[in-house]
Amino acid sequence: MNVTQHFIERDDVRLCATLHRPDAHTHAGILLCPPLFEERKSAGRALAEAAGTLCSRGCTVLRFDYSGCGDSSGDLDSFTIRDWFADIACAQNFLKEHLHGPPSGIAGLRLGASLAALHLAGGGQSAFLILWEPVIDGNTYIRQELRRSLTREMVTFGKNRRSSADLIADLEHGKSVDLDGYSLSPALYADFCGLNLAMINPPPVPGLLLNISHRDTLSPALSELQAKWEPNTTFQVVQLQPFWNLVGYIDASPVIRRTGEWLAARLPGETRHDQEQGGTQLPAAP
Amino acid sequence: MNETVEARLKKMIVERLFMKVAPEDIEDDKSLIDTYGVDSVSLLELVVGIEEEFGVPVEDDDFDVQHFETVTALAAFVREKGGK
Repeated sequence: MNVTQHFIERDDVRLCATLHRPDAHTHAGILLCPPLFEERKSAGRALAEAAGTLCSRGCTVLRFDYSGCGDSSGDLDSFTIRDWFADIACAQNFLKEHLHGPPSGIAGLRLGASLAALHLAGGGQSAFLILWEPVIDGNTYIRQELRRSLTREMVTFGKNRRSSADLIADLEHGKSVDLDGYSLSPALYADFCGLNLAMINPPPVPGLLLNISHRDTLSPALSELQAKWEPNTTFQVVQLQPFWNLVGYIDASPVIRRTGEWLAARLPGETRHDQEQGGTQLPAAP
Repeated sequence: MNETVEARLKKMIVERLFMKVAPEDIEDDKSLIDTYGVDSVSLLELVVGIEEEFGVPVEDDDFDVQHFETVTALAAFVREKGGK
């Protein structure tokens, strides 16, 4: 395996990226879209492990940070979701330049999964889509992030000093708010409030959606999505602690293993483990 | 026989936080934070769990650490809010 660091130029932004290339033949390319805020930090190790494992199975994998996030240039509150769609398209092009033919897909975790699905719904291209516990409703997501901030205050001070209603009022009056050290702009808040995967058409490419939680059945929101998105998208449950929420190490290998098995059934040159389950091979990139 | 609120809470805590302890081994009056290692991230998971499993809305004003200190405190909070 060959791992190299890159800065991908997009307009006046430099996206920090890590490319994992297998020593031998590449069966597919995968762009990994990370989550945001504290979830990105907590999931960093799991995403690096996912990249390494999928690479060892013959995939060229590109990890990257969105504009204003992680080691990419810019400040978070200068960007909106539209910028991150442009980042995804730019990172995809970079990945394709290193592929020379095999199909190229996108995998994402939490908000990264939602951005990947919305990118496709907006006309973006991808041979397949892998969604790990996507955020379905941006409004619920951002309110939960605000409550996370309140919970931290509660543990530190015994009681929260400001309510989430106060924070939302600030945002709605054009003021950025601090989310545990991340500056959330009114524009980005408005973008999140408008994000809803239940409102988009089913992805037009083969997909895998993993519901990762303490449950042994799909969550109600994902059950509703399943009714709309099957059969093109396969829904599976993985009982695992939400590793994107925790500072300590959680072994995310069940998620990576399921993903590898799903891919193996669809990629030319891979071992077809679940061929009998109806896996269809993906076309090579144009 | 119906499970008590305390027993349901303990089960929920163990399941949602993937704790390696039997629900019945959680002591009612021991601090969830100091004894069982519940942190701010886990507390939010408990807030969501209480809302989903007991039908109790947790408002911003309810974010008071005294409601979440022990199983006894949590059970009193759930009962006060009319949890099912």
